[in-house]
Amino acid sequence: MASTISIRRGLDLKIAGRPAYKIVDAPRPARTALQPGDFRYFRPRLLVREGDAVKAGTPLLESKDDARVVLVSPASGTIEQIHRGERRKLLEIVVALAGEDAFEEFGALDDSDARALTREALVEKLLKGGAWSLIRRRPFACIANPDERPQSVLICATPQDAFDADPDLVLRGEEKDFQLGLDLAAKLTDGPVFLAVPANAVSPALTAATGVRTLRFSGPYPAGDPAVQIYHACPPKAKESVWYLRAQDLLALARFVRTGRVSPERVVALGGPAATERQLFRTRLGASAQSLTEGRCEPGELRLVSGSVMNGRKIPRTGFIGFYDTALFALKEGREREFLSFFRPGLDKYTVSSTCLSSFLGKAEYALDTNLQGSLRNFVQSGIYEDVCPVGIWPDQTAKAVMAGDIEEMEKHGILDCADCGLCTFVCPSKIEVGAILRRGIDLIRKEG
Amino acid sequence: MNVNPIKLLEEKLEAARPLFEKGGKFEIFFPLYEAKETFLFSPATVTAAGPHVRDALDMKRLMILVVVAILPTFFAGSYNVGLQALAAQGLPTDPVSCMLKGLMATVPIVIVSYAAGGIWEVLFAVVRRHEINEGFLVTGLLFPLTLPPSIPLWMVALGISFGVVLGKEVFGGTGMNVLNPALTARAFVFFAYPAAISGDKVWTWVNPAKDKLVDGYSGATPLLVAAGSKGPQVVAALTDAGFTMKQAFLGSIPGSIGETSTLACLAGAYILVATGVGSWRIMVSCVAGALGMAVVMNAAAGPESAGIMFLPGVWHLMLGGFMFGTVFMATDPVSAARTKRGKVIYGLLIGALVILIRTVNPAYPEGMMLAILFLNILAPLIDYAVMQGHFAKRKAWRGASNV
Repeated sequence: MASTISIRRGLDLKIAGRPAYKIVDAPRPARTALQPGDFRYFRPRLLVREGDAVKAGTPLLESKDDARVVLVSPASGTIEQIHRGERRKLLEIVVALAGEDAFEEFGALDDSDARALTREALVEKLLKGGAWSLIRRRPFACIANPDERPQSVLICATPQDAFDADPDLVLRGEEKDFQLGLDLAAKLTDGPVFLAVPANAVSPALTAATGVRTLRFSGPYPAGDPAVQIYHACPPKAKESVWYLRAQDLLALARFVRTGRVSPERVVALGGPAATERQLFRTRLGASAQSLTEGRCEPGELRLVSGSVMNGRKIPRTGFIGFYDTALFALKEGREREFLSFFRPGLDKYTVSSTCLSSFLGKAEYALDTNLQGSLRNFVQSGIYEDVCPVGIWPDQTAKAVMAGDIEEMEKHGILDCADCGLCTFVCPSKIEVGAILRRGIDLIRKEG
Repeated sequence: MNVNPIKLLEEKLEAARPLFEKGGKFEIFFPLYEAKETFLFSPATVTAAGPHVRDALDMKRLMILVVVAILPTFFAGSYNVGLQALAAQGLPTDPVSCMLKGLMATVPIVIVSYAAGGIWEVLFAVVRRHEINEGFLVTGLLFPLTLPPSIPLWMVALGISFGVVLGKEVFGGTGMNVLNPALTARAFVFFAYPAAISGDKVWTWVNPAKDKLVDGYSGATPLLVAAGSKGPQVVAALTDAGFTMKQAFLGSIPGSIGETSTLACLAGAYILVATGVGSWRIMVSCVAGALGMAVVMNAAAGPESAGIMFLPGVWHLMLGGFMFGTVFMATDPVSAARTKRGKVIYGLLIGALVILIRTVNPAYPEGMMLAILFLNILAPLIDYAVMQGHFAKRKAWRGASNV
């Protein structure tokens, strides 16, 4: 029995450039990369050097805090470049693909053997093959801790927003592996496994899934975000955790257990106002953005975002798609200046408020660019932030607690529920990075707690 | 040759930029350059990280909308200043002369307010190296509208200086202030120069020494009349003094420049609420608080009480600065309560306190300014209390919702 949860607060993003609902094969990328920045609070120890030959599944990094947690190469080839940033922070490990894929073998299992695995054996296998990194936990949205037993597991089979690859489409024909993944996930927890699906899901992988509690989620962005779903379905109690995987990650996990090889196949949506060929592409984990955007985006200065336009990471033209991301968003950098901007009625402006004429005429979509739409000021307006917060936080008050460094107050505000959806920052007329301030508070709790 | 003058202006401004940036000749005037430049052209800044797109509303648009909402009271008020002055001298009161006469009184006051306050704004922006805050566009217009038309211009300059410097800038500028800066300015003038801003001689823009006034001219505001009358016949006393409810609603009564026309205030309220810029919660609860308190006071009035104790709540809403304060002052988002429930409590208390001051306190026939300033101080406490409730609710929800 599926129950429905409608998320009331949030925002339907009226941004142009939704991808078409079809999947095509993308050309094989020449490079893929592993980006340690995709894994929150992960302190990497490098295991390879530039020029090393690696197979798909060769460990590239291990955690300094727990050497069992490793991150593996998404492809076979040679380590072309280890890219470091300020203070030698590891940014990217770039693998140049060579010939057919060669895999590290972690032992194939047939379906019944896989289902017969004990929790310990499963955990050990996932850790060894690097598939552990597909499992994340809340609070903190970091890789799960293998020593901990989660209160429940949530499988997020909803698209993050209208620009994301929809699992309802991606999982068609993958029913068997997906169900295996759900059964394996059930081994990880003593509590229930929740399967979050779109309200209008039709794919049998989602509608006929067994052994799980199916939750149909409806509502504006970010109703498709696992953090929001966990908040509404199964918020972790104090000192407890809830683990979660996004649908394609669960599929990769199941395939890994069945075949004993990393499963680098991913479906990624290309969208956004500056993308000219918008659809879903079958490509690889960590693929170079160029392999998708080449010839499919407008010319000129563009911003590429791996993940959602609301909270994804800005990547250069030569960058790579993030580990957990299934969307690539292209938009123009907004450096155009407008004459006497605030005297204009604002027919072509997108605002949640009712301060532009467009608010009353209801244009369906806006080709937004990256312009900040104003300049930085102190907090002035109130009451607008909590109206869009999907997890019932009062973001401006919480941000003040963070600025005061008051951990107790932050926790009372429920800062750990923050889904990092970016909406409070989006609506702020003072152009304050409210969401980033909350993240700073969460980092502080992580460090001190 | 076809040159786009706007493009040319943009290029000229851009060319001048190095002069004002770090190491430039006029480095210390960067805030001034920034203000002028971003006033003319929206900034080219792009987002640094997610969210990569932003809402089109910014502080400039927000503040300009407030200014637009204030304008009806400015024009209605100016008209009334002219009307009162001409009527007091028995001169013809055709609309054009009323408007012209009124603007002759109000425009210099507004200009002095903007100029004197603006100098402080720029000075602080330059010394503190922050940008010039758009909030001053509102403060600089609100303050003069709370003054009587006969106010000496040097007092306007002094008042706004006090409001901007001690009401706002010492706290760190717009967004950091505790009190409403425009009301802080008015409170300064009110307590420093009471003769210029209270009593019955200041509300009409005439010079009693020079101008010949008509017989029976009093100059008292309806609130003064009501406070001065005795017993339950207060409405009759008002009518005798020539004040009808229609006049009070439309604004042809003596009073501070912007406060007289309830209709104009309601027009402003409509703009603020329709655009979402002003809080309807505060406005509605202010009115509710006042009506409630008026009922209490009417019931408590004895036969020997002052007439104002008997004044029906509806009259209170239309007299004095109640509507102007409710719509434009109490709703200042910085000095008001920030939480939703807090706004309701804050509004109710302002409304109730105004009536309490008007009816019980013999020293001040008007209480709006003091009520708002007092609640400005209490607003953080209200928010604190509301937040404790929010925390408790979250905790209870957490405990109940687990599987």
